Amino acid sequence: MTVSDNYYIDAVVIRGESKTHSVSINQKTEDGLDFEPFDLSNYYIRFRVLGSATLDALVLIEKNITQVSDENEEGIITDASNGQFQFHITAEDTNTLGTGKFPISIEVMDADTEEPVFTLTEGGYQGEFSKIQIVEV
Amino acid sequence: MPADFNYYINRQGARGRQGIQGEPGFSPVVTVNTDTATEYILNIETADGVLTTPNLKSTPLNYVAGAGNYVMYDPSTQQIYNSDAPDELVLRTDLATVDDPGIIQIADDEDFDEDADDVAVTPKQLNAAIAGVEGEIPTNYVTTNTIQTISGAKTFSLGVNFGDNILLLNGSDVVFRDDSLTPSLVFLSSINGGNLAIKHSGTSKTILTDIDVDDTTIEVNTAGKLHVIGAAAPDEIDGGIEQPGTKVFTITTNSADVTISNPSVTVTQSTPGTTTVTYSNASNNSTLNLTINYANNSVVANGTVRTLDPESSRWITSEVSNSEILNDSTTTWYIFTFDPLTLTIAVNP
Repeated sequence: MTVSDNYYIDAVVIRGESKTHSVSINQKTEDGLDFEPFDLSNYYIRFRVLGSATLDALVLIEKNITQVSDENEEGIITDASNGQFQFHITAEDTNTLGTGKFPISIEVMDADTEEPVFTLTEGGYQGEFSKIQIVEV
Repeated sequence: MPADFNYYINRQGARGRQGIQGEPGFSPVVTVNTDTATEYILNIETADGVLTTPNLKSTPLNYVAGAGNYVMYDPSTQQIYNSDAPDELVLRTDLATVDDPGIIQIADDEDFDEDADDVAVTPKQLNAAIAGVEGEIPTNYVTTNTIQTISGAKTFSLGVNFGDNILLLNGSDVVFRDDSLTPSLVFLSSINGGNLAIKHSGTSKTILTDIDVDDTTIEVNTAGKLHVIGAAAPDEIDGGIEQPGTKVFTITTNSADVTISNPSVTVTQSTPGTTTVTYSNASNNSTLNLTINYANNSVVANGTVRTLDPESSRWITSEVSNSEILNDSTTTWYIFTFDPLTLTIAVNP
């Protein structure tokens, strides 16, 4: 299971404004006693905004984040060797979505096979899930 | 540089939220239905009802459901049933026969009387039948330790041993052996027409006692001696020397050894006493009547002999006495010779 410090992403974006959020991925060291950055060199990130927190949810927005993608549109892998990337919510995305809470799915994809390797946003806790919140000012 | 959101792959995740409270479970209730030495049965109350177990105790193979001498095993129930009456049992009620297996019934007195062939005899019954009634001699069997009269003819093909005095039957020979006579064996063979032939296998004297030789011919071969050991009364040996022509002699001896050697007769007398010798030759009607008196190392033989004079063809009776004396260091022979008989008297003082 992949766990964030806060267990779940709760990215707040003001409607009509864009915002970039950074993410880092770490994995256990070989001795299993610590964590080290996950190398994203051979991967890309598939970022989705879902209509609901279900398996059959409608994908409202999907962005593929690579080392060369547009940081002001999709986002970008800022430091592949250290497992760091950014996802970007545009003002247009906020208008498309409208206000509200929208589950998101962030998957690490194999760059060669374009198959998901693992999902960062799997699971739920006390009804919570990774999401973005589009809020009014 | 710290990110807004930091993910750690395979780190222990957050505790899952409390699940929905489950419905209350059902605890079965177990009670004892039957608890005996042979049965242990339980009732188990489940959500669906009450379940009764089978007997949880194994049934001993020797479990008996009744009483009686007839038994039946039912493999379907693993129970053994028995009864006093075989017809109360379903399985194996038939009595055993020579050809078919079945139950065995022990014989009773009536079965013995009726010579039953479908019952079994116990060792005790068999021993009792053989032994007969206590104190009575068994009549149906020959035993080893009772005095019985055998009225049937028996053939002992391998001989019979009668204890210390061994009587062996071998063909037509009957052998009598007395250990006091060892190493001699006396064979009494071919009892035929009243003649009893006596042979012995040893070189020493064979002493016969208490043998009734009346009307019996005791044959002594030419190399043997017929020695009569007398007591106070003189012993008489009345027999014949088979010679050409029938010749008969009678020797009455008192403590004398008589050696018959065809055609001579030797009388050895080593103890004082009187011996009479009577010899008759049927072919020529010659007879010899001699009295031998041995005493004090001296032999006096007196008597008469009747012979036929060949010239005159007349019978002549002559006095006869010691006619020739021979001596050696131990024996003195007195020889009386008349044709064809030579009578030798040896005296061993």
